Amino acid sequence: MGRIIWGAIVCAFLTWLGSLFFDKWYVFLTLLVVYGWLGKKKNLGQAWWSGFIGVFAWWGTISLIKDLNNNHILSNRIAELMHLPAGSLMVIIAAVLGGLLGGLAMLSGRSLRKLVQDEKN
Amino acid sequence: MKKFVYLIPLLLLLGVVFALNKKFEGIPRLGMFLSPYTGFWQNAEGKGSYKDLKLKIPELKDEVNIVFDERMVPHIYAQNEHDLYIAQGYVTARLRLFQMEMIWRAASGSLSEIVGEKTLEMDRYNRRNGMGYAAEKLIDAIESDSVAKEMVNAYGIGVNAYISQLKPANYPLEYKLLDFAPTKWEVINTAYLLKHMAYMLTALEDDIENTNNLKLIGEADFEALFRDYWPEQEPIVQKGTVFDFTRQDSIQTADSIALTSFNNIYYDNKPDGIIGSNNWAVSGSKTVTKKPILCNDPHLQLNLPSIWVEMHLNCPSMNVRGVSLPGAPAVIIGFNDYIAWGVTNAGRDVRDWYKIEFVDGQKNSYYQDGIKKYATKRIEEIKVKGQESFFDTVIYTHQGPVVYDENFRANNSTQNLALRWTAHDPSNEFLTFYELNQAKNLDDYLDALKNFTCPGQNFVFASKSGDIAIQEQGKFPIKPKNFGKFVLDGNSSKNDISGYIPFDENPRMINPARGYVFSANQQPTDTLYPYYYNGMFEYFRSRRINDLLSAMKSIGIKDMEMMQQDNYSYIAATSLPIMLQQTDKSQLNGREVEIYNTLRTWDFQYSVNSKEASFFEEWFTQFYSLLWDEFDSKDNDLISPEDITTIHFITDSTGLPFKYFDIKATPQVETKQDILLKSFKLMAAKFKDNDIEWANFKHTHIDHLTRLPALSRNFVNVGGNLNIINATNATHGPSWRMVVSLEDKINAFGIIPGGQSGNPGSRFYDNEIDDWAQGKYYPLDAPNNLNNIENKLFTIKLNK
Repeated sequence: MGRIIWGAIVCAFLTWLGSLFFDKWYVFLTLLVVYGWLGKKKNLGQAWWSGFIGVFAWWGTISLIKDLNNNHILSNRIAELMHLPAGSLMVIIAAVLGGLLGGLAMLSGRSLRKLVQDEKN
Repeated sequence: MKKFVYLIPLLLLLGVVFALNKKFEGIPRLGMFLSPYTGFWQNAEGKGSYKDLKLKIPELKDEVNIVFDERMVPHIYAQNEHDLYIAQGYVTARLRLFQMEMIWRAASGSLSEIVGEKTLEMDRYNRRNGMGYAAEKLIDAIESDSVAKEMVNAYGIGVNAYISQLKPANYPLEYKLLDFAPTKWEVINTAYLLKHMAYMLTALEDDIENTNNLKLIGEADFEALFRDYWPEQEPIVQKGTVFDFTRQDSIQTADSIALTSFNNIYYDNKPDGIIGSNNWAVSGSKTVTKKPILCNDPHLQLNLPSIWVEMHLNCPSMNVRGVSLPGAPAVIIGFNDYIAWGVTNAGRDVRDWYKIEFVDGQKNSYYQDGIKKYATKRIEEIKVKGQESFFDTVIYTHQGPVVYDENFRANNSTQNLALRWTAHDPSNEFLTFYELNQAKNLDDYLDALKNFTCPGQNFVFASKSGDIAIQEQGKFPIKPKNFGKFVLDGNSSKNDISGYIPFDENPRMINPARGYVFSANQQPTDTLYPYYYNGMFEYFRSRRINDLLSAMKSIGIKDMEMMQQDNYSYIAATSLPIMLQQTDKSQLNGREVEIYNTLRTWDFQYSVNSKEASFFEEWFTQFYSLLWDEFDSKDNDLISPEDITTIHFITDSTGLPFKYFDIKATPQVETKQDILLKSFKLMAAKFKDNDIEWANFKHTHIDHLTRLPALSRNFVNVGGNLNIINATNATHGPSWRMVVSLEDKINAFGIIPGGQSGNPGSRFYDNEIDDWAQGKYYPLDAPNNLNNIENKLFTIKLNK
């Protein structure tokens, strides 16, 4: 559990770092793939969950803060645009989407490592 | 093989990223759009969006301070005009970039580049109307004038300074939704904006419909149903005024006023023709403070973002506040430390159509008076998203562009219609606003108007020194009677327009004894005016304003605000009593009698909760379509007579061709009473089960430029209607209300039906709508010292 939480914190940090230096929305995922590769102590499940939780929490928090600061003005409009009943769903969508991407990225890195390691064996 | 299982997560990740990064029709790239770092969340304005800021724009000469107040109105303090207009361009782009791009794209026929084939027809139409040709001529004129050049160039520098520091994450929301990047600003875009306004405000002509109508009903009926002037009008220049000049004729007789060898061309795309505006000024003799008060409310299509953006411009040569148009420098309607001014549309016909007979199939030359004249060709390349460019060749005659030919909406190669439009002539309208922004007195105001060509406007004026004035200003052709109402024969030079009414002979009133001047898109003069003119004119707001102003004394600001909210219907007041009297009550059933009795006690107010307004409006509409069924044709472009004519058909008992009361589709011959009864029953059927209050029946809504309901205000609870001072119908209304009392310290109030920001994620996007609907106003302070601005939100400091 501790490994997952620690990994999640690093993932959140890498998500922030990736967004700081790159305009493209997906570049941060490459950082997570690399981290997934390097974090050799984790098994596949731990890699997935640290990626999922880290990005879920980070994207969710950022969206939530923006939404609260904005008094839900824009999230309500975008929800209407997407035929969703409430703006707060947009925060959940951002979080879950981030979580899935983060989890997949970590899992990819870890799996690639496994692939290479198995080749060596 | 088993180990390749380990590749699955990566392949899955790549697949998901690819899918989220792909743009589907109508859906943005979801990864980009939903990421809190790049997507719409970045447009969700919060406290952090209103922090003080320092920025560099190398073209500046000096420091500029921009203070945003609690309603996000920018107060710009510059050391010189150059810096002032840079800052205006910068803040306007900051508030309204997407709107600015949409306007120049629409006007220049460049929408298809971002939208695709859907808008190609519209783009072609705008280009064939010569919008690009007109904008280029305006730019030439601007380039040759040092002041105008400086203004427009500086403004563009400011816009580009904003665009160039934008990262994709900060693009306005609509760019993310439509997924394209802001286009660099070109100076000509400002010219496109002006030509767009010229189009919206002058493309009201019915030449083609009138020509068809004339063929259908003959000259006598045409004269009766489509009169130039009804004598109950209250024109801009007071009735009975004697003009101290005689007509300067340049064309005595036109060769053939209505061309009969003309086949119909479908002629859509015109603006709705229901735009209009009010303005008035009262002199100190009628006010509490003994100083003039000036009021203006231009009625335009209600959109989000608002068509206007409030602006306060301050530099050593001026201190001016009011509203500006996103895309153009200066304040368009407003006041400074000395004067106030406002505008309404003149509605004069300045677009005339000529049928051209080409000599050869290539359309290189055409005949006039039997002599060959050479045409030029302008090739328009229209970029279309996802497709090859579309090339359209537009032929230009000495009149102007051939808008309609066999390549565009005409059904054969002999139907070539060329457009003569004053917006195609060189002009320099920005100088008018530049000079009004720093005008100090009546002479300055009159000087400023001299540069104004198109679209013709009624400029109302008042000064602290006590003067009030109004002038209908534009470049108006000298015309023989009925000239320009119909399609003209391009073969004869006698049909060319060769002269324009001199500036000092345009309708004008300065300090009249009655103590007020006003305009509401009505005729500028009565029939004593030496020049003939035609156009689209209004008969109801003008008379209501005149009734109210002539009766008012000791006027205060609140009285003027209330007058701008006036919901009294002149149409109802003049027609309903007679409609009721001539409707056979014995033919009505229970619910119908109930409605009938309700209408008898109505005060003609189109207020929010009035059910009578809904009844009357529907009755009048039904009556109108039964009366003018002769002009309802699917195969022929016709036009029905105006409301004022309809009212005469209701109230007059002689002197009109009453055969039109007959409904063509029925075997019997109907009378006025028959169709009053019939239309009453049609109306009552609509309200069979319940009353519908006026605001709900009318359903005013304010749409975003993309028409997306999520970005629009889909219902506004507001009274009023067309032809009422509070001219708010379903889609159009007072786009800016302003009341300026020219006391020693100017006391001004105003509001727009939207907000300052164009960002749907900002609380300043639509925050003024409810107050606007309720008739509230905000104070418009314009302190000369930025420290005197109350309730600052944040400040931007610009430096070189």
